[in-house]
Amino acid sequence: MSDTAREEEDGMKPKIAVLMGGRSLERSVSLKSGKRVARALESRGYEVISLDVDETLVPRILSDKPDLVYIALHGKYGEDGTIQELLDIIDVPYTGPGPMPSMIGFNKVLSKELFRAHGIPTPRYYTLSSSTLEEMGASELLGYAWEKLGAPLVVKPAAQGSALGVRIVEKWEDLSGALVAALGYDDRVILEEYIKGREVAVSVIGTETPETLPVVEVVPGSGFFDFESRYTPGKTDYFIPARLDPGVTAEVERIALATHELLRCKDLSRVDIIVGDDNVPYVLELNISPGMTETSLLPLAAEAAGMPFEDLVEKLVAFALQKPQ
Amino acid sequence: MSPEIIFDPYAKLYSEVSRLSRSSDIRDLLSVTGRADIISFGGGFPYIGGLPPEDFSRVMNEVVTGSFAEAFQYGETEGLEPLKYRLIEVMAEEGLEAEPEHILITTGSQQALDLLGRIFIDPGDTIVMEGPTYVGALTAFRPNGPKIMTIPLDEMGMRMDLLEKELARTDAPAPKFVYVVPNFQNPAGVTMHKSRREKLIELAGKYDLLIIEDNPYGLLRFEGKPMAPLAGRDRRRVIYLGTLSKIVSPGIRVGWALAPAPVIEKLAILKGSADLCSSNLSQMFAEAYLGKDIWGKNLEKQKAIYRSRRDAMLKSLEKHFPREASWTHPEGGLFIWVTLPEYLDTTKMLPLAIEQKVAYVPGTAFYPDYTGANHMRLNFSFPPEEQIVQGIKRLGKVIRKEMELYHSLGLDRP
Repeated sequence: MSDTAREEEDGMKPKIAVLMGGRSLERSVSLKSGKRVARALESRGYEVISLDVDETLVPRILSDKPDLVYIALHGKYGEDGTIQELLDIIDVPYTGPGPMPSMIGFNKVLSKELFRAHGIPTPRYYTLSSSTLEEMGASELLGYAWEKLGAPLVVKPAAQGSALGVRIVEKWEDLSGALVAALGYDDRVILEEYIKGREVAVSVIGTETPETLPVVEVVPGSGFFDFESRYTPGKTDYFIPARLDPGVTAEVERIALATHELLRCKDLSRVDIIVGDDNVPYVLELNISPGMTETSLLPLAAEAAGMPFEDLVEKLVAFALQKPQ
Repeated sequence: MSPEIIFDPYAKLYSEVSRLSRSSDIRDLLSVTGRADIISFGGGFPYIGGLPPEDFSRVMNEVVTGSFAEAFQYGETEGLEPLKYRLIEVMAEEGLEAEPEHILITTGSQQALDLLGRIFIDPGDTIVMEGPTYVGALTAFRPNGPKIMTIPLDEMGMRMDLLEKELARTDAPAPKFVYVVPNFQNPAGVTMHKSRREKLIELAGKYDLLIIEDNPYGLLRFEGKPMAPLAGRDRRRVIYLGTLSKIVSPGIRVGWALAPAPVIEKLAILKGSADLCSSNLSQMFAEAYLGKDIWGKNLEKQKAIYRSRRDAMLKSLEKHFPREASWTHPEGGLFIWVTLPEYLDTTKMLPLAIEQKVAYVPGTAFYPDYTGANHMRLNFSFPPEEQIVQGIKRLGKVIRKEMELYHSLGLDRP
């Protein structure tokens, strides 16, 4: 069968390569996201190629010539702008934001600085790198940071998803151990003020006029939304819409949109926010490739808005195809 | 209507036992190690690549064409009689005498562990295990709710002085059983010394204890004198577990338990409800394979490969690991156990190692109370020699780098 004949028969649905897995530490979550996305696309009649990212990736994309790449990667290389830069070189459209928002979103130091500069509230923080600790004696500063931020505080890698390496530190003597754990994931860590309040996630989708999906409230059984709570069904309770006053919900949505637009996130982002007991929303971070597993927040929010998973995936594909290259 | 969303609509229905299972970040981190670009010392796989496929296909063919009707039918719960005779010969290799009526064939010895946990442990019962111990035994016993007493081991196996001290405590409840892997232990690689074996049997008599002797690796000895199994010293007190996973293939899932008749009867009833019977096809394959001299030849070949891989690993450890580290020198089996300075935490270090494309299993996985953070288990049977050399070199760098970090934070001082 010739190519044209096949296109006619298929009604010319685009051929989509779904990127998943890779060498990131969130590989297994990404495989779940990717397989679910691929199934959804197949059920809607797209021709789907599933690609586990390795050294054959670029040759495969060059030879398979997909019309579009769906990025279902999480963590390093997929969420930090690396893949997006490669795809820009060969002009293959892809889902989600471009390299710049990805780079900034994945780096919590850069994004928090940007939030601060533009009046988006974010918890106070300090940052330390393994080299300042090893080569400049920066451990002497920990006492100052502890005093200024107050206990408890949150220690997290500057660049890592799924809460890997994140610890809430209540006692001074546990601080160094938490730093070691966080430095396992990135050579830079953040010491952040702990805001007591409700943890919510706001998904934003759309190109020209982005919109928020219903606000999801996350209540981990263990008190902390760590890796285990995220991916063990039944370990966390979710409320949708979040149990917030209407005025606070509106403010949360406004801030999420402002964050999305500040980073120029075309198509998609998920903004994680803590609403303090004083009802002030603080932005923790922005994700450009949110999870798409059965226990992920974006698909859940979409469903609450009356958008089945397949519709959500198709919508993201449609956005990507419209995007000017 | 409540706005609460429940992802898992069955959450309220699950039993208490199933609630104990959970998603772990170690398991997820290790999932990346299945990739070809990562040198993994993490698994416990035998090296099937070293076996000649034609031997296996010839035997399988024989079974399928020669005994089709039986091979593809249900079988007896206790297992196929002719296979039991072959397994008796396998046990005789280590000097253990056995009778077919005392053997139950299981789906890998893992099934025997599961069944034993269920027939012996009530919630709150005390059981004794080695520290560190086989992680699959932990997961098999744990759902039954035992209190696990961990007795440390050293190069000569479980510390009998410490076991005796625990047993002698008048307030201590009598343990239901003592679980040991006496040969080339998983994860520690150590073999229980003759004197310790004698002492364990003596203590079992004195305190009326049952012993579970798990022996998956006994025939994988590269050097030194074979050790007589515990079961050979006291068949009444010892339940012996064997498996073909490491000496033929884990893919056929054939293991067995050798136990006193009443225990075999109990186990068989439970096995019947678990899976009716082990696969006839697998059992007949195993019976036919063990009856040919290729099995001994192939085992020798595999042992030679493992031996040179172990040597490559020991040599590389000597060369690339910091002098503060120490490790076991297994005379067989699949694993080397590394002890790093007390303050190091190999779980926290694992993502750094994976970033450098090398992986191991952190020590905490092998202790019921998640202690053992300064240890790691390294598998040498699966990765080829050049990968072992490269991987240990990378791991050595990661450890040194981590020691520097601990030093800069003052965490290397007591």
